[in-house]
Amino acid sequence: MSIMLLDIVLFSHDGRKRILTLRPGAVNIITGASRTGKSALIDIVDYCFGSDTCRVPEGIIRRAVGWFGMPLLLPEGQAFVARRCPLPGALSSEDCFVKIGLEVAIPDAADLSRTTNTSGLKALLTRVAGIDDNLHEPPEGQTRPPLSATIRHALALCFQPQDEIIRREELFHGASDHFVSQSIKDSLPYFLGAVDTEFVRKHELLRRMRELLRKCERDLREVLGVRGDPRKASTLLAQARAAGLGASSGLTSFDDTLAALKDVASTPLAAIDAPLSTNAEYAHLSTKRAQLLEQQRLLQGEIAVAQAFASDEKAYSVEATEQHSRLKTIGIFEGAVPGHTCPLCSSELRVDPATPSVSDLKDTLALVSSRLEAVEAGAPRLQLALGELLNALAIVQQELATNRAEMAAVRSQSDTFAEFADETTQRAHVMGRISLYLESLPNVPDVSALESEAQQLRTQIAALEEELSDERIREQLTSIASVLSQHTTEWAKALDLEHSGSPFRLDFNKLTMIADTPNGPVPMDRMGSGANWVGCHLIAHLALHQWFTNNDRPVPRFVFFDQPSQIYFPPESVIGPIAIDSETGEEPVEGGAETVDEPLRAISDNDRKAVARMFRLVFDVVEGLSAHFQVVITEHADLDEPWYQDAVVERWRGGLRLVPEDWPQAGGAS
Amino acid sequence: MTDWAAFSPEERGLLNPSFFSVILWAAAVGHADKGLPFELAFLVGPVVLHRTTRQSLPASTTTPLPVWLENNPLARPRIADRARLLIPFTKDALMFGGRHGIFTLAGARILPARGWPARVNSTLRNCTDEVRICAKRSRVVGKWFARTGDPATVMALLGVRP
Repeated sequence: MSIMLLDIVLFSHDGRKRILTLRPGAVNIITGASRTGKSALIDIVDYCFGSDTCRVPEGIIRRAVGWFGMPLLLPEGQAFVARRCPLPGALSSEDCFVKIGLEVAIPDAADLSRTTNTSGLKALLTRVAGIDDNLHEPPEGQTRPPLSATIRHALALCFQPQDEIIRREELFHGASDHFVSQSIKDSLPYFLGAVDTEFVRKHELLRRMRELLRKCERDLREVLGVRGDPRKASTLLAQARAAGLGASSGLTSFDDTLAALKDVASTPLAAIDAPLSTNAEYAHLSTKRAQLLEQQRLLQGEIAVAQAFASDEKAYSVEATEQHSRLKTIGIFEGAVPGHTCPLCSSELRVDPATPSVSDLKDTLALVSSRLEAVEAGAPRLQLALGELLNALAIVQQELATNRAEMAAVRSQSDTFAEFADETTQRAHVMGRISLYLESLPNVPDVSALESEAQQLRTQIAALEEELSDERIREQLTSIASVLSQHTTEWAKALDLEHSGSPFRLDFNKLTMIADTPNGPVPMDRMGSGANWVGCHLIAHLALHQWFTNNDRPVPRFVFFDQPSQIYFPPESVIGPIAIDSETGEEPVEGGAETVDEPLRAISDNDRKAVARMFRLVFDVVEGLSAHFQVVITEHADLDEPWYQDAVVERWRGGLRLVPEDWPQAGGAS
Repeated sequence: MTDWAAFSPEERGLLNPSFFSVILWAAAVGHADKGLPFELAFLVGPVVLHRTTRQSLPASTTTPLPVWLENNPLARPRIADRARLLIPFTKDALMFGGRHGIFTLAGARILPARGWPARVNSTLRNCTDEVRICAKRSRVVGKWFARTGDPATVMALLGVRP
């Protein structure tokens, strides 16, 4: 269930309310003379649902009304939304009022104040209408941004003002504007349910997978790129041989060359010190060096442990300080004697050991304080110890530096070493280059794993794309259109529309009704006569809402038809003010069967039957939806049939109108 | 009532009834208008005491609650979840504060008692910044709830059931 309207409420500037009661789940007819405010109702409802500007026409309504309000029936409970009527000269007002509950009574004018703005109102209504996360991405190559349907898009399907209900060119409210009609086309798949409900989530998943695939392909390219140049590996191997590193020759495959390079790289360089191993001084220095390195390692370990401990303690003391601070608030209650009666029910309270008293809290405060002090007391000692360790480390590092210098001195004095050193340096150089080359190879030389991963991703992506494809959505839409056309065809016959022997269907691309006649498809704008156009409008909207209701789609469950019978009446200027008693010159009292049918007397029998058929169809469809769908019709005609009369909720004749005449008007009297 | 001894030391310290009742008092002061409705008292803690939520609160009450909720979609589930967990602490705070007179509970509303602001402010001056910020935010939240309408609406907006 989505939203249905309970009433429409107008608040005057001086605290009065005018309540137009509507029945949810039924047809509501408001019939009346011209210029009583019938057509403004759609604009009022639109405004309360967060329109950008207030399209209620200038005049008595805009001047006499302070707030427009509407109690709504929600799937769970009710809500009351209201919006201030724009001040004279303003186009809209941001002052919105919202109240939600299981049952919401209509507030008084004095209770109305701004509790949210228009965007908050729209967000709220979108949520309660049941519209959840959705997204429409335009096809490749189109420039418009992705669309997320909101309550405003859903409302386009709920209004048929008097000038639009007879249009041959467009079927939907506001569709004469290109952007509006495009957004209707974009949001209809979601509202109809043609889009997978998991669309947004899958869309995100698809995006992530595409990124993963791109990364995978990049890695593959890198590996293949490196591999593609086996010459570098062979060159390095040759250099290693020249430097005397004993590498094998005549290897052809890349993998073998790689293996040989790895062998070379792991040759230890310890041989450097060979000629000096007999030099006693040098040996002594080497041993000392090893010892110093070991000491350094131990000290660094201890320092790391101590620093970790210090940071833990700091964290604890920050926490404990916060606790301490919050407990200190007990100072506020110092000296206040606690009562012995329960503050809620005034019954006598026995002293409950489980609830904390002031003294309990003070004890806890004392405990936390002492713990904090212990930590704080310990902190300086820790800092001292840490400082000592750091000093020791600095000393060791200095000794290492001295040792290094002494060893270098010994080395430089030895000639044999110098010679040997050259050769060794060369070897070390080649080994360095080899190890760099080996490092730069990607860590996963196993291309097959990467390739299979890429392939897997590609299949998954293809599957997802298929699920989310336009193709799939179009299929769903076609199927839905076909289901809907069963009803529209039947109803076209009931209304005796032109071409009614042929199937009538809704085209979601062209947003119009099409009759598939033996001579080819005839869209609404190529059908003749206003009666056919109105008929198409009616059956289209009824079919759509029947679908929405039966499939629990998040579209508000009401539709407004404004003067569908207008095409059967001559222009009002010919008839004159309707239903004036010719003898007394006054407007007759409402309720008489005679005067009720007056306007319809002026039209032919056939036309009167057509009007009756039109209304009867609406009633039948609403009945078929067992009180889950609501229609509001504002009409000029007043049909003398019991089922019609039962549905009339307001009759604006004889001085009764939307806004009472005695309401004060802002900006001076009219 | 609740068992003080069953709470962990951290809970006892951070959510102790004296501190919490000061928070509720601040919310009641901010709410004004016949006092803070009883049900909303259980929503003050979850909104104010969680640092991330507290930091994402708007600076003033001009931003309406529904708009803030739209801009911070994670706030609703967080608040609803924590409301449940904080029920025993809120109850304790209500009892403590009520018994010691910092507020009175009358007709399902919490009315701040007179003559306390001076005492509260002088003690809070010796507390950490965080305590003071909590109290200030609580006042703003009280005002915010008042602006949004009746308790049922506030609860429905936050997605909480009584």
